[in-house]
Amino acid sequence: MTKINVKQLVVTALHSKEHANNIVDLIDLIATQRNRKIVLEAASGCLDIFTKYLEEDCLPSNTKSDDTIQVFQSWIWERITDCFNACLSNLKESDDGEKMLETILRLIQFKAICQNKNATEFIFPEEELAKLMGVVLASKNPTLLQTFTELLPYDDTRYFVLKSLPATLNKLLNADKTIIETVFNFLKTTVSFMPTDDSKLTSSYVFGSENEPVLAKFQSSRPFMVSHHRKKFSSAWLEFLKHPLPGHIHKNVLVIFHTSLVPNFAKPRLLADFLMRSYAKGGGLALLGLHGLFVLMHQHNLEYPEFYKNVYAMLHPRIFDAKYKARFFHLLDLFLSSTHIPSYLVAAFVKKMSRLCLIAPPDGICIMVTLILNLLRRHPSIRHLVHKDLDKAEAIVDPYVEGEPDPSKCAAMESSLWEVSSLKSHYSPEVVKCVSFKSIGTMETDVGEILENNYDELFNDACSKEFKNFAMNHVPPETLFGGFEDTTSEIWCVE
Amino acid sequence: MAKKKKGLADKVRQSKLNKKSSHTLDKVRNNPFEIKINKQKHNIIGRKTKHDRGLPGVSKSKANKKRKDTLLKEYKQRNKTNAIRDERFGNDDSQLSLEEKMLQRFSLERKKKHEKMAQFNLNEDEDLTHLGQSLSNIEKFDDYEGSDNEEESGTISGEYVTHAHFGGGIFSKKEDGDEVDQNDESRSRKDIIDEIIAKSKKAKYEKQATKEKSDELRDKLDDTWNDFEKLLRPSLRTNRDKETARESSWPDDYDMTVKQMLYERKVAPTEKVKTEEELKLEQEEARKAEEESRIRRMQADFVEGGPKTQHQSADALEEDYYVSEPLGEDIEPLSFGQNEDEDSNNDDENSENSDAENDQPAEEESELGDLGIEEDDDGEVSNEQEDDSDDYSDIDSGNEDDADITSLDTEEGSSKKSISPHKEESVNNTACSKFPVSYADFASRMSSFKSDGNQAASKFTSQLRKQFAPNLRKGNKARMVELFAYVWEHCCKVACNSPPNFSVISSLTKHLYELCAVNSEVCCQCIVERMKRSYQTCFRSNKSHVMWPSLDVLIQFKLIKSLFSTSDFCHPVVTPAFYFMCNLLNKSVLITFSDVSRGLFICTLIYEYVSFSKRLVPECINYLVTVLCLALPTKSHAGKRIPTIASTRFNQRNLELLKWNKDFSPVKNLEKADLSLLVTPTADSSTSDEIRNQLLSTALSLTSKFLLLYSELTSFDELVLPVKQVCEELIKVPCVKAQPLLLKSTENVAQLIASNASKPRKPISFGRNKPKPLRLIDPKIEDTGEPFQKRSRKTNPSKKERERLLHKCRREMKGAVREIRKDNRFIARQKQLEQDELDAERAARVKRLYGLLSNQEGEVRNIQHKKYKLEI
Repeated sequence: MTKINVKQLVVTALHSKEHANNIVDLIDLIATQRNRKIVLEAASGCLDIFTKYLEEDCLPSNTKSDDTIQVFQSWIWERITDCFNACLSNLKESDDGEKMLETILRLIQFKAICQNKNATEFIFPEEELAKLMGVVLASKNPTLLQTFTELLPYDDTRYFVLKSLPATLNKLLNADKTIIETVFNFLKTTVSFMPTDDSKLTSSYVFGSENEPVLAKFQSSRPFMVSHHRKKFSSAWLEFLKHPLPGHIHKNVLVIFHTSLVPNFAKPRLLADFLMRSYAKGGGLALLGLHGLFVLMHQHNLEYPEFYKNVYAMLHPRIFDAKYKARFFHLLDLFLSSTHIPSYLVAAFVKKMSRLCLIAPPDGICIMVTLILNLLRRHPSIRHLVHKDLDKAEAIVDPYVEGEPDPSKCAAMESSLWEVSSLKSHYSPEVVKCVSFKSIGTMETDVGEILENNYDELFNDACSKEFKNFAMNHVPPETLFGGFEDTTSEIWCVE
Repeated sequence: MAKKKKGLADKVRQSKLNKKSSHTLDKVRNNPFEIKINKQKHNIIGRKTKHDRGLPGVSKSKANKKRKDTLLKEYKQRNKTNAIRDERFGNDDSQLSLEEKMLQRFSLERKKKHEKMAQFNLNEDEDLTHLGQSLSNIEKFDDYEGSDNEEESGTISGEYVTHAHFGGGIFSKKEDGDEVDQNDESRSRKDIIDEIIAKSKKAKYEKQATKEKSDELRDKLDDTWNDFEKLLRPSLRTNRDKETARESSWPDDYDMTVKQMLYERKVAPTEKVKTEEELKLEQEEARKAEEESRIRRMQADFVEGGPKTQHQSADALEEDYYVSEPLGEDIEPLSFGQNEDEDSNNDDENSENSDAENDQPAEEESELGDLGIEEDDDGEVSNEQEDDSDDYSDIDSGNEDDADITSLDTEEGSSKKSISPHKEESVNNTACSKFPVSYADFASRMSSFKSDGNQAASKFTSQLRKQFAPNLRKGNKARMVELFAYVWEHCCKVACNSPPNFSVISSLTKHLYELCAVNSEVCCQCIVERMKRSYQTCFRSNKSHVMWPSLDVLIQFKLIKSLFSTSDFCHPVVTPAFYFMCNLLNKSVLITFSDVSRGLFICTLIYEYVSFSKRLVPECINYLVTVLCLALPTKSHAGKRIPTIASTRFNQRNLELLKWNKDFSPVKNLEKADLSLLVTPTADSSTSDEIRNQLLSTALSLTSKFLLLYSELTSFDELVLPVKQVCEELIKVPCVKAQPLLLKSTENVAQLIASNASKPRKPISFGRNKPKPLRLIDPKIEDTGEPFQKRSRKTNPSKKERERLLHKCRREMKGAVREIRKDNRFIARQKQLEQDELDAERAARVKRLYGLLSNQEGEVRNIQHKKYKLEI
């Protein structure tokens, strides 16, 4: 079988309906032939034939008078399905099916046009689309994916892609875990095409953008409504998030959470489960998860009573070593920025942070002391932590329970910030400057400037500071060890 | 003359009159009849009264005089109505402009004048002459010789005048004596006149002669004027002149001695020789002051710079004042290639130098080798060495050029050639004869310096310091700073050796201190720069864990402690060092024994740093807890019950580090850990248990030291909580239990914690609330001015002001009315006076007329009587 033969088959079939059986041969060719060019030729030939037949036959089909025509029509429909399946299986097998994919897309488009000719509700060959998507995603072929994403700018195709995503994902991810990155990237691209306004939903893949009268007919149907888009979008994402995600993808999801997911979700609160799972993972993911939860609580009325308890649990010595230290304290400041948080909670945070000050590096101490001061300014009800009237004060053993995970039971309200006062004898002058406040005042200090500090900054600052006083040791040393205030020779054997 | 006399007399009279008048005024003032005393109703002490006494007569006459000057004049002018009428040209002509008017007036005036003057002008073009010379020429006053003559020729001598004019001239009779008269009688009149003529001629001739003489002299002066002028105007003097002048004016011996004696230093009064007790007391006081300033610097609110240094003027700079500019030309340039030159000169020297040269690279190699083993396979080490071995280009002051180096070196060489019994000394002297230009130079010279073992560096340094003492020469102070850098570098180099020779560093410590004291600012910068470099090499990779730096960095910290006051609140060197050490404690890996021991060493140093100031260093506690945790069985801290920041530092590589071998043998006597542990890379299993014991006991003793230090802190409990937990666990460890010494020190720590723990504390406070002061209200004060004035009851200030003004107005009005009345009276008096004068005149006239008439009548009567008589 050669290319010329194929062309001949197509031409004869185009010429009259008597040679309609050529289609069967062509479909066979697609299914069996190895030669790619021939396959492509055959597929496009089929498409041409279908187009011609339907132009001629489908129009009178409305009359429903002639049985033979109806029979023929239904036969043609079956062949179209056959052709689609053949093409799809071909696409699955071939490595480089870009052209084939385009043909399939045209086939789908063609089918949709046919179906919608006289329909009142927008109809789309969803099944085919789902099948195609499954094949494309499973192939992990970037060029195929690229071609496929060209469907997304169109409102109708996007809608149906999103609609068929959950089922497809479920099937795919259950079969193959490694596909998850491809899926994530694809989902991420859908985000950028998500509509924001009903009036902007006018582009159609099936009818073309300029076919306005036809579009006007379907304006109130689902593919052209933002709310429905969002519903499908949420269900797709939720399906995706149900599956266990590898670390970096998890992190990426959390990073795009606020900007991409929340605004496009029909019910963002549904994401809370995922966020709680993120929190359970600990570390940076937990932090990002908490941030997400905070956004949901703040903007979407999520009720999550455990939130502050979780944040409280994150206050651990480990954060000073973590890379996300600056982000954590930034978010902590954000979480505690409300003035409507109960006093006991704020007191617990303040007390916990002051405890941490005793083992933190100087940069961390500076941040925490600044935060503590800001909290004291925001919440006058806990000022007794730093200032109690001397007449009423009695000497007490610190009632604060550090190990208690529940901030409401840690008895921070009855405590006092001895830790901060003992920091006045810290070795770092910066820290001492931070803690030697004479009164609380009302103006809050901006934490942002010192969040990124670490030893390097402190060291460089100390080096570049200008001094006038270069005090020498007041006792001239005679030897390296064993001189004035020497402990080395006491502890070590220096000889 | 007469007029002058009169003027003089006037003056005298005037002054007399003035005197008299002032005198009279005094008289008047003292005259009790003139004084009117105003009686005071209330005597107020301290108030100066102006009007307690008055002189009515004086003031009356004053007022009268004033009126005479003003009012009277006006009165006399009252009927005079003079006015100036302008009759000049064009005054009425309104069409002419002002300028034109002026022009025409001017021309008219000129014309008038010209016409008047011109009638006497005969010929205007004539040139006026005098003595046949044009006056215009004479007016130039060129060489006008007449000026000298004029005085004399104009005035005739007084004697002549008396004789010729007033004494009767030739006809006068001589009053001098009779003899002369008798002689003169014989002479005829002609003779006498001849004589007079001759005399005058002679006088004339003499005058001429003297004039010529003076002219001559003047010409001479003119000729030699140029020479004189130089003396008068210094700007014209040439150099040669000056030289000659100087030579001539060079002070002689006498002058010199006088000057010397003048400026000789006077003997200052010596201070009293102090007794031993006084000296002790003084030292004690100095020490106290030091301690006090130390404590002051320790405070957080210590203002940097402290008491401001007094301003020093530029003149007050002493010779050893340090100027940071490059060293001047007075320093002989040296080169790095010096050794080679020396080699070629002397065989004996050759061997030494080659030794020295060999030494250096070998040293470095061995260092590198050591570090390579010690720090596994870290490529950074070599880089660091490269960094360190840069030739201090920032401290060198650019005297690189070596123009006459060879000649200098040959000299040196020749001096060395003479091998004598004092060879060592001479070699030492030559090694110190010049100041090293770089550290490499310093090191090579030091190696050529001969002394016994460890003391070489110290002796070499002290020699250099003696040679280049700051008070010997300008610029030596800068050299001392350089020397400090070299010695510092040398200490680091020595510390890098394996094994490190601490006694060398120890001997250099004192020098470092004293060198640093010369100029602590620059030395601080030098240290900080070095520290910065090591910091960057250490923490270059932004990883969470870093390798320990080589030993020299640690030794630097120890040196810093020796040199500087580490208890300061903020110090240019100590504060960065703190950050450096704490960062090391926080981030360094713990894989080998040397890692652990280095950390412990740093903890020891930090303890030294803060032992006086008792500053809190959480990093130390964290580190110690981490080390102690390493000794616990894996299970107990796997649960991470110890709340320490360092819990992330446990990993597979170090988990077994401080755990005893299974077949360990309890050690009875525990030795102190040796400093050589810092560099010993690994230990075999036979000694490892011993090392473990040593490290643990070191950690425990450090912990107890820190705990003692912090026992005063308000939050001691919280701070030591992790330590407490670790100790509790540690006691349970069988290997610790088996060793009584270790167990004892552990229990010791636990007891220390227990003894200080759980004290009830007072909640913190900003201090007592100050009671709120009552609101102060300004008292209402009425400003009435005069305290004894009648006070009006009106409170409204504007009304009061109005009243005050009204009162003033009324008073002024009264005064004005009184004045006007007085004026009127004065004028009336004046009128009366005039009237009286007129009346008197009239009366006189009438009287005269009466007289005339009565005369007439009398005559008529006489005539009638005569007529009657005749008739009769």
